[in-house]
Amino acid sequence: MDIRQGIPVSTGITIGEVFLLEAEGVRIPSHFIPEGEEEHEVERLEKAFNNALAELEGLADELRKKAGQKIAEIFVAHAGMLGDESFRQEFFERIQKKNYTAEFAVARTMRHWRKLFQADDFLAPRVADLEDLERRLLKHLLGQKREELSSLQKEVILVAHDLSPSQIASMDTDKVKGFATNAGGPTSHAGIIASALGIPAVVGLGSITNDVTGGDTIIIDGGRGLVTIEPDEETCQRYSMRRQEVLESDQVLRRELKDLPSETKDGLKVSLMANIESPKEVAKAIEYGADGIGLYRTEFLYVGSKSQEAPNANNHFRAYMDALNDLDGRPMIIRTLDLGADKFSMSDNVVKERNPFLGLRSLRYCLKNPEVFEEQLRAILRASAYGNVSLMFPLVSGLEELQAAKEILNDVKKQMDDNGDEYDPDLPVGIMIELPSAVMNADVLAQHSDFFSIGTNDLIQYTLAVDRGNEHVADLYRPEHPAVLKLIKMAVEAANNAGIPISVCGEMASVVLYTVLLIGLGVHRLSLAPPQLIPEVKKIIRSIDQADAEELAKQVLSAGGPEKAREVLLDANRQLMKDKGIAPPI
Amino acid sequence: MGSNQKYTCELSINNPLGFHVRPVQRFAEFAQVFQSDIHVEIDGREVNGKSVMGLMSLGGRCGAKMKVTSCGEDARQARDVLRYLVREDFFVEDELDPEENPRRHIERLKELSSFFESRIKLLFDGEELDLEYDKDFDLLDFSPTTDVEFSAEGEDAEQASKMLQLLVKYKFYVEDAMNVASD
Repeated sequence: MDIRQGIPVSTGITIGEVFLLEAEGVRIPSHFIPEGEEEHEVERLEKAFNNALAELEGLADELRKKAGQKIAEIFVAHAGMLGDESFRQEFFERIQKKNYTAEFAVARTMRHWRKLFQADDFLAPRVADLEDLERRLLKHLLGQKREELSSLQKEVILVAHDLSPSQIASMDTDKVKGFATNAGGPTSHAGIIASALGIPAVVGLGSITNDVTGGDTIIIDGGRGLVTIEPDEETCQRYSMRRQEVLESDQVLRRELKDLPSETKDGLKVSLMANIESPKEVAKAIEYGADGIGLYRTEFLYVGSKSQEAPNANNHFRAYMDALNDLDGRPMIIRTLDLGADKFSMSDNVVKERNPFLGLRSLRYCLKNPEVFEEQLRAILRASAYGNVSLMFPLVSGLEELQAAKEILNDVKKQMDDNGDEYDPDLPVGIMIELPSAVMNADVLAQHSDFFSIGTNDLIQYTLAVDRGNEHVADLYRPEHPAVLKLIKMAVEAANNAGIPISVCGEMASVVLYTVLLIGLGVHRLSLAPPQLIPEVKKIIRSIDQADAEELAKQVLSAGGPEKAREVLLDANRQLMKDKGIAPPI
Repeated sequence: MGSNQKYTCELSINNPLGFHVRPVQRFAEFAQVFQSDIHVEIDGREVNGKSVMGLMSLGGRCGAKMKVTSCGEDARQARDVLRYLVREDFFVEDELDPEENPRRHIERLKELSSFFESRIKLLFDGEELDLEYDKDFDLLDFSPTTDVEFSAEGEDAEQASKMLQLLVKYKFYVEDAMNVASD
């Protein structure tokens, strides 16, 4: 048994089998063979070795002709490694002495060598060669039986160096019960997705991919950031019990609160909605008491699509209709594409940007590629005829940009009129407030918007000039920074003056610590993820008065610096929770 | 060949990349030519000299001292061949001007064949050259990509043939020649 501490990013406990993404890309179906089958298993492995060797020699020959000896040398070396008799013997011994399957013998032997190489900076670059060999051997062993991430046969816990958005998009989320990754910080993509899906995850574990083998049993304790490798019986039982407790208390909370209104003791209504990335998540949101969908991130329609092209209106429409069916008349705000083209397009024309966050992304990309944009707008308009739909433009930096987007929307409406297609003529059109420029100009933008929604992630990033994915500056990313809070307050005032609703749909709405603060700043609509948080947030709202929240916000706003603001927020929050008899958030 | 002789030699690794992929690969392949047990020790750790993985795991950097021990009937030949390989920086030619020594393949043939007791004949251009007696290597002229043939006769003929086959297979380790498309 081995326990690793990482960074907790998504709460919950899960026990399961490792699917090691980095090295194998496949899952090992079984680990042990019955007594007496050793000979057969050795033969299987020998055959895989010989096939892999022949393949490598073929590759080396081919490359020598095409690209020269330098490149071919890699495969010559790989062949040399596989041809090493004493190395082979290690694999066979694991079958003969430990009754491992050939696949498991490969995984274990390679893990042994990976660890050895990893420990020496001179040898560390060779780890990639070992991983390549491992993949090749497993490919030959498993043949058609290989399991890919997109078609898992059973439930697994994903262990990887890091997870890219496209890997996450292509994976079968019904089968993935948890994540553990080497890289990543508190706000990495893997963590955000895991918590959106409500599956436990721990990131920043350093070398977890070298410490486990595909098929190992591990426990992810997402709340505490602990990963237990090959747990003993007692630990398993302890965790199973805790898991049961958490599930039960969650159910009690949910049952008790589901039908109670979300309002403060003195009657201020705070609407609680959910953020989703896929229509599959709507049912869960309703189950936990969401008033509707405050943010439908449609990016996954783009990055998750298998084809090389952007989705067409029909792809969009089908997804929106699935969501509306489950919503049963509740509202849904659909945000148009909020990605750079590099994230979804396979096209070679995508220019590599030096500074993608300040580059051609989101609404800017859509305005330059109206043919992609129009497909999505048409689908949103079509869906608006069937349910309570609003449309939201992201990353608006100024008035003309908003006007240009609305002009394209009007063009699509005209085309639809000509075709006799139905849509909601009063479809509300709002904007994300996520750039400091949008806040400073919120009074003007409010005259042209039906609603505002504050995207705190980007607002913080662009205000504080911090890339939260960069571990060297990640600690400068502070939602409670007075500068950020003042901007939120300004946006609220502008919305109130114009008489339009304003909500927060960024991650800040999903962190219980900030619930009271946001209410105190005048935000009375929150859209959060995962929906499992709704009962907890509702419980807090129902136990305070509006004045309590406003007092807390006042204190934090006047704290001065970000350090002090955090301190004040933590203290005031703790005190308030104590006074109101609520357990403080863990 | 003497029975069960043991030879040890101390060498240092001088090529800039150290005991890296190519050096390890070549050392193991050369060692595999011989029947003797071969062991390599660096920094007090000893591994099988015929094992690519073992040798690689030694992590020998440039400047490291290595001890090569060979034990068996052909231990002396193994020592001579491996010592030559290490001293020649494992034939790694990264920093070599390809024009500098255009006859290095012939030198390598001359050196390596001299380590064996067998009579080695070179079949080339319809002629048979006896390398044992025909010391006049300077007159030999063929390119590294030429498919020359050998025959060996004597107690260590098997090892000698294997050694020379490796040389031909890898174009005498003239890396420039290795890059030429081979059909």
